[in-house]
Amino acid sequence: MTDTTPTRPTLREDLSTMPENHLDVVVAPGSIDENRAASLRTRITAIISMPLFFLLAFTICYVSAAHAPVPHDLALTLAGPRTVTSELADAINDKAPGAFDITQTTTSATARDAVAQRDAVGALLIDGTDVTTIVASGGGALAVQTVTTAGQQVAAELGGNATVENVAPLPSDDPGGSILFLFLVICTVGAFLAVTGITQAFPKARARAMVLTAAGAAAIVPVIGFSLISVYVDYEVSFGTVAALLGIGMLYTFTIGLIATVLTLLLGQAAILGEILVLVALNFPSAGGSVPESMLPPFWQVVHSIWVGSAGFEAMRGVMFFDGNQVAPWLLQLVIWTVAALLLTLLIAFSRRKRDRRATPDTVLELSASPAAL
Amino acid sequence: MTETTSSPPAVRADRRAVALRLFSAFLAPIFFVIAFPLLFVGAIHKPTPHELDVLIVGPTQVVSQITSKLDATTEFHATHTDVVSEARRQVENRSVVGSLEIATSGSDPSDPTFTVTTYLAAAEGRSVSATIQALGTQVAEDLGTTTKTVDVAPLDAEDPLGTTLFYLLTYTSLAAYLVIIVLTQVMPKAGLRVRYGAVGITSFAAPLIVFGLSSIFVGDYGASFGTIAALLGVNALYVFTVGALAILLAQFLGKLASVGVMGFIVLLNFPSSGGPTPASMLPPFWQGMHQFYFGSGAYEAFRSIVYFDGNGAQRWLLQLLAWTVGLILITTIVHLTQTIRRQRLEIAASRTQNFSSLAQEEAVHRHLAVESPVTMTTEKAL
Repeated sequence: MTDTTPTRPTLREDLSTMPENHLDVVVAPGSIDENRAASLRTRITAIISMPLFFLLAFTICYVSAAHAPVPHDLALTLAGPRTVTSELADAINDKAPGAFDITQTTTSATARDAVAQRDAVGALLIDGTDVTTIVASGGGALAVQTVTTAGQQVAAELGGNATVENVAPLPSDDPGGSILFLFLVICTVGAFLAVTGITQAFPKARARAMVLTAAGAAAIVPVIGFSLISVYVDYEVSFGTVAALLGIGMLYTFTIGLIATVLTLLLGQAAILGEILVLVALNFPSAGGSVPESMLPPFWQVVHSIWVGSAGFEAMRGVMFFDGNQVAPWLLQLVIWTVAALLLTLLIAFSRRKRDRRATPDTVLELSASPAAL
Repeated sequence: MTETTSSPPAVRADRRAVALRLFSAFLAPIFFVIAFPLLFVGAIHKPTPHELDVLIVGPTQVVSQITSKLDATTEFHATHTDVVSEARRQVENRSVVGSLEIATSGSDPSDPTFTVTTYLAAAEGRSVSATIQALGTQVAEDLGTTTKTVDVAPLDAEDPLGTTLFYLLTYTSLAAYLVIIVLTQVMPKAGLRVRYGAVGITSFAAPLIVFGLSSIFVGDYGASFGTIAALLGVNALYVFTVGALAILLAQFLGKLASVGVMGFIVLLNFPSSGGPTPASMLPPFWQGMHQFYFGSGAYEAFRSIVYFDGNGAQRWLLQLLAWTVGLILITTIVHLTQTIRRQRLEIAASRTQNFSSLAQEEAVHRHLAVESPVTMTTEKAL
């Protein structure tokens, strides 16, 4: 009689028989490719590299962008008699070189409009010795603090009083202005998790399935996310404004889904690393949500001026707090990303199909009933 | 004609399999999209003081009324004393988050002149110090004076928002659970020793990497070597605890562990830690979480070490340690239970196999016994 008592596999046996799945998911279950076996080196590399990549990307990006926000070319309008504003502009530039980008006007209405229209982050209206500071907390609470402090210092210099006027206030339920940024986070993570999930559950999923997933996520994620946010935050805006926000959210979510699709097609299982880099580590700090653009370090200001997250976030901000002012350029930036991602997806999908046909010329490629051919 | 269609039960099984895979594909995003706004937004959307501990210091006849009035609100939990040194001391040792020292002077006792000094700690959180500042200004205004503000625990110049310690907590958590998630995927049968080994190495490496990289931008908070060593030590303990929880979640949830991690280590842990919103400004539910969860244990210990000369760190360290010990015990018990259960099943399976082998052998013997004369005859005939 043979001995059939099962023995627990040793670590070595474990390593030699386990399937390889090293760059797979952090998030979606059931993604192990049972047909591949990995070497010990691959496994150890996987265990070390993914957490290490996350640590490096997050720490460097977030800390460098947000640890000590200071104004960099913050657009400030000074309104008052030309002689006074010129003197003040010189004094401010001497005291804080590079911190403010100052524009002068003689009319208070122009200065107030500049803030309301988002041409300026803040304005100081000089009336004799008194200063009225115009701020827009919807544009970023940290910038408001900086502009208010500047107003107080100018008033102290002139020997008068400082008052503050907010032309784009935040809702009382979100005094810090962080919740709209969390909406962006929900749209981003919801979209790329959905695409990642579908490609892990169906490793042979085609580009079409991924694009459909992105479209599905775009239709569902912003609606669920904003509805649940509304449980806590009343933005006190009209239905039209909410509809416009959801529209931008949908376009943004779809774009993120498309970018995730492109990265998946290009990088395969390593796409998660690309997604973390492009859609999280570079995207969130540069969006202008946790730190407004005017307070970001110069590198991050450049990223803000071209990236997808800033496009989505600034468009949302414009709709929610500035009556739609300055939404068009940000929306255009977002659409460029959408179109570029869509074109890339099509290009990669077609070139793959062409390559597959060339590789198997006698085989008629047809849709299989198998779920793997989604 | 070849048969190309599956039989109905096979089709049903296929559909079930596809549905299961779709469910697994979308479980994480759906969970995130629902849980993130409900938990995270719920915790941090509107920081409001809830029973914020303040101390009013001054002559009893002056401060008792102010204290009673403040204590009657839901915003403050106020106490008073006439020991002047307590105003500063209790903020420094984190017994309260702010204090007002009210002194009287003047020759006419019926019309005294008041002096108000507000003691606060920026390191307790910007919204907390702003609330204390506003309270001091209001009380001073009521007494017909202005207030002088003393910050007993200012934030470092390179960390004016007080966020970098929270980054340390967040990113080292990430390292701890990612190691376990990747490990369980590439080595699903790795034993508890291997898992804890990986967590041990991570708890040593992750704090060093994150703090090292952060210090390029933030510096060292102007702290001594001992302070930073203590910070990294607590951080290592925290990473070990998060790793232990990730191991436990992997033991229970298997491939779904990442969803559990999202829930227990991200969505419940970070908002309650006191990092995004200080504990005294959180809604009551989250304040309750803050009192016992492991993230707050680590984060408040970090704060005490870096900004309060270690004052108050002990209580939070014990909270963290309780989780560490508890999780090690639970993971060990679960591991032993699962091992014993598996071994029992294996023994049972092997017994069944042995019985069936014996039965088969017996049958073969009988068969041979019956067949053998015939066989022999046949052999002879051949």
